[in-house]
Amino acid sequence: MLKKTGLLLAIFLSLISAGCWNKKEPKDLAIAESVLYDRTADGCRIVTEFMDLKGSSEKESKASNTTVISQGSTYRDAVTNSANSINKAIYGGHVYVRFLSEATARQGIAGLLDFVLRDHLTDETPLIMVVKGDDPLSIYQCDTGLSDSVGVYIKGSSVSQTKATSTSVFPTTLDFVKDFLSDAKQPVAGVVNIVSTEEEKPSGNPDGGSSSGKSGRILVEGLAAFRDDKLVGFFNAEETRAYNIILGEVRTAVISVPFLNSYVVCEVTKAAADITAKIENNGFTFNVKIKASMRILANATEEDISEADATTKIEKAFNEYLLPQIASAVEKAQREFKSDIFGFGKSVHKQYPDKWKKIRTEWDDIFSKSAVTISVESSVYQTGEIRDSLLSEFSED
Amino acid sequence: MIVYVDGLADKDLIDRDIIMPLKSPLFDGNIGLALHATFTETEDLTKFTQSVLGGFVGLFYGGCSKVFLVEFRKYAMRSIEEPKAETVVRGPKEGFNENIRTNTSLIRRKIRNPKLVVENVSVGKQTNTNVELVYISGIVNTDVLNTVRKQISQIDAGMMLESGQLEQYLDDNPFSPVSGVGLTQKPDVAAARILEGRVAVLIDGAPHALTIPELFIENLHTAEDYYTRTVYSSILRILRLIGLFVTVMLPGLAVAIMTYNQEMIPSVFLSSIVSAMQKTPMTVSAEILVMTIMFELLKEAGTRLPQAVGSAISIVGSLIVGEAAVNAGIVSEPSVIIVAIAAVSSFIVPNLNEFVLVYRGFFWLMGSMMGLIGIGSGFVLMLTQLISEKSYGIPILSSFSKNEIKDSFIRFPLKTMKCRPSSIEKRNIKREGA
Repeated sequence: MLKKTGLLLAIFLSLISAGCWNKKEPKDLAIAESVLYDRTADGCRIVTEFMDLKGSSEKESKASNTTVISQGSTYRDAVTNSANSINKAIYGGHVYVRFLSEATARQGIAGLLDFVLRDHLTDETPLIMVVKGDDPLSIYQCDTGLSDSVGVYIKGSSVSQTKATSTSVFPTTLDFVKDFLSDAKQPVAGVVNIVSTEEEKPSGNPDGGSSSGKSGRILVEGLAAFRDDKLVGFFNAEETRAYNIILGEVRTAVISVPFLNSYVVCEVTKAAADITAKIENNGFTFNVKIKASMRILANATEEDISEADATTKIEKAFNEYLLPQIASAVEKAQREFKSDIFGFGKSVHKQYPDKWKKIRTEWDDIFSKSAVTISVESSVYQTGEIRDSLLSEFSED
Repeated sequence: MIVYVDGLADKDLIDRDIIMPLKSPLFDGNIGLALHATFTETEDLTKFTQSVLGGFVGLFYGGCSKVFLVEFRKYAMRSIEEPKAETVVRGPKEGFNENIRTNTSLIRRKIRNPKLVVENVSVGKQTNTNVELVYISGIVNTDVLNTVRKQISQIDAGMMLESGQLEQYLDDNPFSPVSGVGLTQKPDVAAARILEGRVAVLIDGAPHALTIPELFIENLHTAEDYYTRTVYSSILRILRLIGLFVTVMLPGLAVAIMTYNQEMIPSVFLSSIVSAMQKTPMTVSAEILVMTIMFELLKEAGTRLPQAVGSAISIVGSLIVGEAAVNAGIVSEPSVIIVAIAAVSSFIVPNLNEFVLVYRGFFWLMGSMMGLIGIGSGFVLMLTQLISEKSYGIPILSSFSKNEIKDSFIRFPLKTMKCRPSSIEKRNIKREGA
């Protein structure tokens, strides 16, 4: 009995002494919401955005955020040094976004990724976004609209935008790393543009609180293509949409398609590409078949689009409209970036596993020289709540 | 000579049925014929004193060596009332009172079965308290019955005033937080448990019946579960199970998550927690502990206070603890909310007070020292303890076995519950047979 009790006590005590080391009282936390990594001439610089909770109980209209800039010889160093400027324990469990300045991304981020993955206090859920332009720090001077902080703003966009336009990408750190480690697909990151609002601003109220100092607006649009760990270029909105269609990541994309003498607005709710590779005269050719299903949101023509032949015409117009966009996006990745961000390599890997083993290391060069044929199929599955075009009222009689 | 204890025997009946016939001119010296009452004869002095102390009237006559004992008991007792701790909306409202004869009659009225046995024993060297075992022969688990008999005969106590004392003598493991003996104040509940093969133990002077053995799940059951419809009572049982988990684990879990695993809290919620706690001096675990102790103090004060003062105290208590303490920045709102939820949930399982208090403290300790690892290992320890716990040789968690799942944390329709719980008595489990 004594022996048993002693044994139990030993197990119990060893359990207890195992857990004490990482206790953090909530009131001592500085909750980081977003981090900007920037490389400067004299080392690494990070800007951390903290949730500011001083005024939240007074129900202010807008809780402001606190940003801390810190320098260091490495990024990890800079993180440690930021403790010099904030009086609480830095807590990274709720970081929404990791921003990379364009300069940092162009120089390569492998070292940064290593720190992010290796350190046990950083996690893999934050989004990876590249801040376009040479003044990345000004992102924290931007107006954050309905949100309290830049981090929350971007996180909110990642939910709302994929449900509306599909003209941007929101890969998490984990998505990025997965692509980074794969030979068959190159990573991409989201893009944040800072749009100056100097001219569109009214003269401004002097006591407008936090919004008076805001000098820009955040526009989340496009895609940053990487080759290995280096940024090689950007996609614009249309090309990013094409990227999303090929990868089947479109949740909702509203596209205005020229039709007859005016236009129809289609809402693509599902799109996916079937990529098949073929070996032809020592190189690869790819056949990309895109299938999209959509519904009609608006019709500015006189056509009665509830008729079957009218929807066929719309589908044809849609295919013709989309095809060049997708083709140019693929071509840009091949010629300009020389980076297989679409993951064509995955289909080679699947179809020719033996061949893939030999070419995987030089895949991106092979990809950039391959021929790609693209076809688009689409189907309209809903034409809306009314049948006749309202415009037809004015025409015939 | 007539011997009786003043206050225990009915004087009117003595006058009418003993003295009057004896004084009558028709009395011919044959006492047996003259008495207008049932009587027993004895020559045993001990039996005579016991009976007289129990309310009998003793009659010595002439040179006869025997004493005639007539049962003319009459003493003040409470009427049958609704038990306050086990109120129901649907179902009988009568409850046991302090008179053991009333209590057995209440059970006998529920079970009109010749096999219902009421076995009489006397316990307590000084008090000679009347204790009765009630069971149905043929259904009862004889092993359990024999153990109970043996334990009662072995009780070496001067006094036995209440069922709670008897319970402690019958319980195998006095330091276990779960009692191996069940408790009820309602004759219908006692009857149902007897019909499931349990032994009920009644003690004179206590308005409670002890039922043996007691399975853990019975603490989550109420009589009404069987009187309301299946789906509703199943949902209520699941709610009670959730209530049990909440009241036992919530404070510990909250401390663990708030001090070790803040990632688990949605950031909007975390920000409000952090801003609420910035203004208070104590750590999370200290706040929870202080508030729990405060609540237990108020609860204890509430039970002891006279009813008229009680409501006033509870208003002051809730105002001071809930409102002023938060406003003054002594404790934070999240801690108050967590302790309040745990406290309210504890009333869902009133029979498990001891279990709840012990394990709530245990989880608080584990959570504040080791975080979620502590909660996890604490949960394993708790389960181990519960699984190894037995009531009279029957594992108290056996209601979760396949055979008895029909009446555990859910309740199947009564028509489909054809078997009695097999863990209590295996030999004869068909409900309709005996």
